[in-house]
Amino acid sequence: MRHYSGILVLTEMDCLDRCRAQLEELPGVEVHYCYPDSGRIIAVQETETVGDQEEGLQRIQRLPTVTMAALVEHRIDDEEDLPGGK
Amino acid sequence: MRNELSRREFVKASVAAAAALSVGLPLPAGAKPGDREGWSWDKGVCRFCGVGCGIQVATDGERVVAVKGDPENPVNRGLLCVKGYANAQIHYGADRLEKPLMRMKDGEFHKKGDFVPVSWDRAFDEMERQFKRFDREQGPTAVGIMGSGQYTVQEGYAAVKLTKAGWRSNNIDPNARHCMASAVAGFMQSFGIDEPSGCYDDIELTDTVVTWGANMAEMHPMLWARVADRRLGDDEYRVVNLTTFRNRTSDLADTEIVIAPQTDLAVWNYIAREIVERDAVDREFVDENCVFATGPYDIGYGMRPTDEYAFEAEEEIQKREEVVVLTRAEAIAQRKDPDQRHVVPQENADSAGKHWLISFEELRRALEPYTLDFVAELAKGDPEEDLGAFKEKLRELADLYADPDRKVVSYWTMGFNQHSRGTWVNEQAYMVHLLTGKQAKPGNGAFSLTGQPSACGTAREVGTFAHRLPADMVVGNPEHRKRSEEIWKLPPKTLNPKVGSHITKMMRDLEDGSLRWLWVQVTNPFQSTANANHWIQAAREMDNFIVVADVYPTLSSKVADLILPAAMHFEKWGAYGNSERRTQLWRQQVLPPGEARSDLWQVMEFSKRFTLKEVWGEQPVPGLEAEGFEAGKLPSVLSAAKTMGYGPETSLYDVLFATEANRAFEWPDPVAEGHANCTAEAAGIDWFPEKALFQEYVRFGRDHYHDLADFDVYYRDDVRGLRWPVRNGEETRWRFNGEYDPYVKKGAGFEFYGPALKSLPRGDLDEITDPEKRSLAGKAKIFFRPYAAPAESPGEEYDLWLSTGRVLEHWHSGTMTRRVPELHSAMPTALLYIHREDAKARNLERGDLAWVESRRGKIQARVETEGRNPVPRGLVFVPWFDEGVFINKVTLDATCPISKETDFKKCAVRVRPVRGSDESSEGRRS
Amino acid sequence: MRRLVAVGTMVILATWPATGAEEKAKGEKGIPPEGISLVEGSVFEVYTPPPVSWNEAYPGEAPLQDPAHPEMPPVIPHGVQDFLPLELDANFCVGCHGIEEAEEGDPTPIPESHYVDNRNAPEKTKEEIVGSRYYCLSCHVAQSEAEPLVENEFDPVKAGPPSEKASEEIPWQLRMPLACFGHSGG
Repeated sequence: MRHYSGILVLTEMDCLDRCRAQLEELPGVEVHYCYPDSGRIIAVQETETVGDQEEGLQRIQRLPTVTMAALVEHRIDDEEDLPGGK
Repeated sequence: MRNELSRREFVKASVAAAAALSVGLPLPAGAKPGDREGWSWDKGVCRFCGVGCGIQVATDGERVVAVKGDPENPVNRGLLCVKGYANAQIHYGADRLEKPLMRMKDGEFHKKGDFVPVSWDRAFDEMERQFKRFDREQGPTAVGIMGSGQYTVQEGYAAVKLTKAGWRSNNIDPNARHCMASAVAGFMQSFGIDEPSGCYDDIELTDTVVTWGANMAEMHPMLWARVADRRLGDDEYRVVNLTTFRNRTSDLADTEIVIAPQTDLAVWNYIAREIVERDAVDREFVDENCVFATGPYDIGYGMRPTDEYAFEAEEEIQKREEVVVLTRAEAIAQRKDPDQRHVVPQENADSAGKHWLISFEELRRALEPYTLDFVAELAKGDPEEDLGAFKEKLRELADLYADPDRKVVSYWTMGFNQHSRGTWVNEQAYMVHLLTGKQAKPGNGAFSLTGQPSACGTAREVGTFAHRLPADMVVGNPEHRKRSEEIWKLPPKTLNPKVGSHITKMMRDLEDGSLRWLWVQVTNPFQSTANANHWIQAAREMDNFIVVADVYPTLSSKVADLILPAAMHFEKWGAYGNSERRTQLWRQQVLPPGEARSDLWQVMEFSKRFTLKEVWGEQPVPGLEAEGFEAGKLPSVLSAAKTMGYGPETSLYDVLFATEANRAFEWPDPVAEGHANCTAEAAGIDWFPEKALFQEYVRFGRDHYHDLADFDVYYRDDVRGLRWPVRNGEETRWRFNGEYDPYVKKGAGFEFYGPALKSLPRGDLDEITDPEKRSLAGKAKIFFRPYAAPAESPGEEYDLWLSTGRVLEHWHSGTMTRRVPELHSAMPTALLYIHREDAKARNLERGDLAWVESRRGKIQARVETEGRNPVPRGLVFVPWFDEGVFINKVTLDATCPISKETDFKKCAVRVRPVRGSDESSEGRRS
Repeated sequence: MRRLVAVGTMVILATWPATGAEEKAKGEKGIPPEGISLVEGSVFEVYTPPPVSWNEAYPGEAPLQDPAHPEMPPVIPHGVQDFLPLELDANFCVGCHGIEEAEEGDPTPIPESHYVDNRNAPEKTKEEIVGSRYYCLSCHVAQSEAEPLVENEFDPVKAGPPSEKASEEIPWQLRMPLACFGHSGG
C-alpha cells in the first residue's frame, strides 16, 4: 500500500528555485511542475501511511521558502492489484 | 511486463497532472509528466480519419504510454479529437491477436472447423496450398486481395506489386472504394489527375464554408475546429450545412439546408443556373482554362446485370439495372415531357464514364429546367419546413456562390461519394466552382475530404485499386504498363491489361464462384460491404479460402478460414497521406505482441512461396482483350525473364522485394535513432524494407506531378509532413495555380495539366455528333450532369429512407474504438435515429427495440428519438460501426456506375417493434 | 480492481499458449467462430442490442473519472442533453465551466490551455476560450453505464482508484484566477 499526494505549493517568485531544491531534499518528495510566473509548484509525495503523509505535508509547510502548501490529490495504490505481466 | 518502478513513476506523474489540473494550472509544454521517468516522445500521425492530425507519442521503452496533439503540426496545432487521444489505448485491447488461427478438424484445415492456433509456417502452408489449387483451376483472376485506405504507403505498395507484378492479377481493391472512389472519378474526369487542388489553409483564407453531405463536426473534428475558430472570430464568415438530416455540423452553421436524398444533383444545377442567368460566370477564367462536357444518362445503378443471385424480394430493384421508368422529376430534369411515360433501357451501364465536349450554350440549355420552383419542391427534405423558407435558403446559397467578392470552399465526404451518382455530384461541385473562377485559388475551391488515414496516400497515390498503378497510372494504358514494368524490372507484358474486380464485385465474384481465394488486409469488408447477407453466405458456404489479417478479431475474422495477427499502428514503420496531399511518416515505437507481424512482412514472406514458373507462364484471363495480347490469356514471360537474369525457380520475393537496389538500404539506419523494425527483425534481414520500398515507389511520381521527398526528409525535426508535389524541397499548397505550382508553365496563370482523359469528341446534350477527338491539354472540364432518381426509394411496403454513416466516437467498423472504454461508453451501440412522430406511428418509443428491415435483410436496433441527429420525418439513420447492429445486411449494393462506389446513404426500409415472440421465432436467423 | 472481468473467450484468445505445437495434437478443441470478436454469436443470427443507460447525473452529482492518461481530455461526468446543442451564441459548457476560480462544488474550470490560440497567437492568453476549442464535444464525451466489451490493458498512468479530491482544504490564496497566468512555460 502506497499513498501518493499531489501537493500545491505557493512560494515567492524570486525564491522558486530554492524552494524547489528544498522540496526535493525531503524524503519521498518530487517536484513535477514549476510555474515561475505565479510562484507555484506541484509536488508529489509518496508515503507508506496516512500518518507519514500528514507529517510530510507539515514538513513542507514549515520550509522557510514555502508560503503555503495544500494537499490537492490523494491516491492509494494497492500493490496486490497491479497487473503482474503475462 | 511493466516493472514496478515504472508503474510508480506513472502513478506519480498522474497524481501531479491531476493535482495541477484540478486547481486550474496548465501542464507546461516543456515539462510533460514522464519526461523524467524515461519516457521518450516522437512525432507520429493519427490512426483514424483522413484529416491526418499530427500527434506526439510517448513510450516507456516497451509500451505506448501517452499521446497528445503535436503543436508543431499545422494540420491540428496541438489539438486532437477524442479518438485522437485514444491512439495509445487502441494498441492494448486484451484480445489482440497474437498467433495465426485456422479453422481445423482433426489436425487438418477444415472449412467447417473451429479456430485453432497454428504457427506462421503452417498458416502460410495452407494459404499457399489453397492459392495454388484455385490459381491452377481458374488462373489469376480467381485470387485477390482486399486492401485498405488504412494501409501504410509501403504496405499498399508491396501488396500492389505482389498482386499485379507477381501474380498478374488485378484483383486488388481497397475499402477506400467505399469511401472516395467517386471523388477520384470526379477528379480524373474534371481535371485529368487525382486529388484536390487546394489544401486546409483554405479554411483560414476563405470567408464561406459549405458542407455537402459532410458532418464535419463529428467526422473531421479538428478541421471543424479550424472552421469554428474562423466563424467565431469573424461575423462575415458564413457556414452552410447541406444535409439530409440535422447533425452536429448544423450547431455552428449559419444556415442548415435539409434536402431530400439524391436531390443534391438538382441543387447544384439550380446554383449553376443562377450563376449563368445572373451573368456571374467568371468569363476570363472559364475562357482561358475550361471546356464544357457531358455524358450519357442511361447508366444504370452499378448493380448486377442479372437477377440470378437476387433474393426474390430483390428482383424488383435489380431490374432497374436494365430498364428505368423515369419519374416525373427526372423527366423534367432531363428535358423530357413530364406527362409522357419514359421507359429507358440502361444502355450505357458498361460505358457510364464516356463523355464528350459540348458548348456553353448547350450547358445553359441543360440547366434551364432547374428553376427555383422545380428544385425547391423536389429537394425540400423536411416535410415540416415551409417551402417558402426553404426557397429562401436555396437562394441565399446561390448568392454566396455567385458573389464575386466572396471566397467559397465546398467540403464533402460520404454524402456525395457514397451516391449512386457520386461521380456526377462531385463534378457538379467543380462545375459551380469553375464557372465562378473559385477553384485552385487560396480560400477558394471544391474539396473532397477523405475518411481514412491514407485513402489518399496509399489507396489512391500508390494505386491499390483494380484498375490502377502508382502515380495515377492505369493497367488499361499500354504506356503506363510499360513504364511500370520498367521501374519494376519486369519483362514486357507481365502486367495484366484487364481491369480487375472492384471490392463490391469481388464479393459478387465470391458468390458466383469466379473468386476463390481472398486475402483481406487492414480492413473489415464483411461488415463494411452493403447487402452483406449474400457475401457472408458465399464466404461460409462455398468452396473458397478466406484469409483475414488484422490486429483484433473482427466480424470478417469470424467469416474467415484463416486469421493472421497483424502489427498495430505504432508497432511498425509507416507513412500515411492525408486529404490535403500531406505525406507523413512515423517510426516504429514499440514491438508487436506475441507473434503478430507487420502486413509488410506478411506480404514479403508469402511472396517467397512462389517461383516465377508458377506465376509467369501462360495464364488464362477470361474476357481479356487488349492490343498485343491474345484474347483471354496472358502470355508466358518466362523466356524474357531469363534474359533479364531471372530463372524459372527464382522466387517472387527476390524479384519484387529483395532486389539488389532494395538490399542497398541498410538496416539499422541512422534515421531510426535506435527505434526497432519488426519487419526487418522478423524477416532476419539487414536491409530496411520500409525505406527501400518507399524510395522505389517515389520513382513513379517524380516528374509525373506526384513528387515526394526522400524518406529521411520526412523524419527531420522541422518537418511535419509535406504536401506533394514536393519540388526542390518545397511543398505545393495550390495546384494548377502558377503562383504556387511548379508544374504550371511560366506565365500561364492557371494550367489544369492533369493528363488523363484529355482528348474528346464533340457533341450535343444527347450524343456525340463529331467523333473526331481534339486535345484539351491544360483545361479543366465543366460537366453538365442531370438529376436522376436513386436506385431504390421508399414506397408502400418499405416506407422510410435509411441512411448509414459514422459517429464521432467510433471509427470505421469500430474494431479499434470499441475497445477503448471511454469511447465505448460514450456510444455503446448503434442507435436507430428516427423522428418522434414516425416512431409513435409504429408504436415505438425511445429505447425500444425495433426491427429495421429491407428487401435484403433485417437487424434490430434501439430507438433514439432525441440525441445528436434529429432526423426529419420519413428518414432514419443507423450508424454502421456496430458489429452487432449489422446494418449492412439491410443496405443496397447499388454503386455509382462510373466510380463503383456503393451508395450507403439511400435505400428503403420499414421499421416495426420487436415483440417478445420474435426472439425465438425470427430473432436467431435472418 | 482495475482489471475488468473479461468476457469469456476473449481471455482464451489473449492467453493462448505461445508455443506452436498444439496444432499437431489431433482433436485439439478450437474456438468456435461464434466466440471470437466483440459480439457473440453467428454472423447469420440477428443480435439484440442491450438497452443504453446514459449517465443523466446532474452536474456535480457524480464524481470525476480519471483520464486514461494525463493528456486525455476528461470525460463529462454528467448528462448533457439539457445543455445541447452548442451554438454560435449559446454554449452552456463554457457558461458553467468558464469560471476564473473554482470553489468547493464549482464546475471544473476550463484550463488555461484553452485560452491560448496555438495557431494564430501562441504567445498570449486570451480572455475568451479560443474558437478552435469552442466545440467542446469534439474532445469531451458524455458517458453511459455500458461496461467495456473487452478489457483494455492500457494502464500506464491511470493511477489506481479514483482520487480523493481535497479541494476543500485548499486555502483561497492558493487558488488560481485563470486570467492571472502568463503563458507559463516549464
